[in-house]
Amino acid sequence: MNPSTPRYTFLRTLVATAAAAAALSAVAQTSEPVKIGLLSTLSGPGAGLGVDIRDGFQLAVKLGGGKLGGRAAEVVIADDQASPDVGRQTADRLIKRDKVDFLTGIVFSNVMLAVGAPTFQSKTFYVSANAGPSQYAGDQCNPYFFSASWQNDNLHEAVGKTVSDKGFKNVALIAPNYPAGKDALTGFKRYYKGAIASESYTQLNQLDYGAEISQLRATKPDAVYIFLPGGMGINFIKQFVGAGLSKDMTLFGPGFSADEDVIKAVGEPMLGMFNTAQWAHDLDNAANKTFVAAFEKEYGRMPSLYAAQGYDAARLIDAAVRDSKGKLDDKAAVRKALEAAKFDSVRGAFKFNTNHFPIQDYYLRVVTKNAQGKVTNRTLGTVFKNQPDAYVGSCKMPS
Amino acid sequence: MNTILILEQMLNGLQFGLMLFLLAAGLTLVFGIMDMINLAHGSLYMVGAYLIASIAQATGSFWWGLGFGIVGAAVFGMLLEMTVLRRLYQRDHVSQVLGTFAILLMCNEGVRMIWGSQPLSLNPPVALAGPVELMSGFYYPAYRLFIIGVCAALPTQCAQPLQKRCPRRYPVCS
Repeated sequence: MNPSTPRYTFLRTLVATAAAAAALSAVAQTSEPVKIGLLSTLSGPGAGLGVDIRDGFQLAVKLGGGKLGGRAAEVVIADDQASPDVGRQTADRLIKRDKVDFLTGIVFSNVMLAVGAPTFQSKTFYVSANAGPSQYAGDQCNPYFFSASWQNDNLHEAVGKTVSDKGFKNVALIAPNYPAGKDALTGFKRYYKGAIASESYTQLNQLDYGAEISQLRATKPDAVYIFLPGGMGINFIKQFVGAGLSKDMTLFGPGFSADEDVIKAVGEPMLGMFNTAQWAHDLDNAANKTFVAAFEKEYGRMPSLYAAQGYDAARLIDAAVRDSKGKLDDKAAVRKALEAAKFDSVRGAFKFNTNHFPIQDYYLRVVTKNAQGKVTNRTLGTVFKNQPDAYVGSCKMPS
Repeated sequence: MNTILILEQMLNGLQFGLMLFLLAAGLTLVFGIMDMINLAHGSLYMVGAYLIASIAQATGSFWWGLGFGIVGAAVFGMLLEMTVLRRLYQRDHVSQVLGTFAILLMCNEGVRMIWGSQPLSLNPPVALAGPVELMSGFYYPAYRLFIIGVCAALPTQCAQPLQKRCPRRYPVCS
């Protein structure tokens, strides 16, 4: 072919243009903002949890000067209404229309399981600030899912061990009927050695516990274990105390049933309630002190564990963007950076297991009055050190 | 032990049933006597509940909240009647459904705008926060007994004046 023919010139121009466009887009990619889809529960009885995750996440972005990993950050906030259907549609919109680089924020595991498949299929990284269903820790583990919180069973395992250690022999269990509720009681029973007085699965977002409370009065357990996050726990504890049961049986819960959101609504009747979590506002490390002080200053309330998880999710994404040099299209590099998790977690030591779930410590806390007479949690000690989850064995993580 | 469980569950059922009855009674009264379908009936309860919760939070007293909340909801209802509902009495049922459904949607969004979509919480007054011993070993929450009492008393109080003034042509009065 003659190099001077118009056809050859055209081809040359085309190649040059394509090369220029590629170079331009590479420049644009690193100067464009990092887009985060924060899909959380912002209405209904579970809204307090989503609001705390959102506020914790945004606080981390704000303290980083509006940046994540050195690039401007844009957080798109959406409400899943605690519904798997709405969650799936909204996630679809965030991925396809808003083209987010990371997705985070989901509170409830049933929503998480609905959103998971399409998110992983689109190769969007999901960094969980709460839900950690056993499915994604075990045989359905996925390279695009990272839990910056825990596996659903973990906090409950720690309570199960505490209840056994304290010598309780007959415990009634209550949890909502949804994936995390099942995980919760499975986790509790893994470490609890005594008898089970009764096991009730209630409706998710049920607010009247009259029937469960009459059953407790009839079966007379020596302790009650509740996994009722948000408005459910607030109502249960009020009704439990109102029915006069608190003097006959000891109430235990995971951190979800006894954190600032519940304490603010219930108050003094919760004094003395033991609970467990991977984080507490009085943990002694520099990252946590900065976080708790900044959160109180910004929002005028104490942070909850949900806020701490939202904050850590943002800090993890920050580290991933930084360590992958902002090349978010290089999925392998982003995955490697997320797996390394090079950030100072507010909970102290934190690292990922092979299934992208944390290996971390779990603490025993008790609701007491602090020096200023305010009802809040105090850390008593460590229940588990470097605890993995129970499902990692059945995860064959694709490399 | 089992009798207590059965009694307690019966009281729970009675309390819940009476509460539903009270909620539904207004709707059937308005429909039965005035032949008016008011789909926004529940919105009036919602406005009342939000007023009670927010006033109780602001003043720190359940009873102030209850009093002002009821007055506030009544004023809201009267304004609604004078501005919109009055114009719908002579129309057919389809227009009433359409009109009051629009009010329902506006109330929902209005509440969302004013109070947000996070739930408010309301603590029972201190006097009713604990349990009452009904018979030996059988404790029942005082607040639930209070609800049973109010729900049972209200219809009997309202029924008498209604029966006196009730014109024969309304089905509820015959």
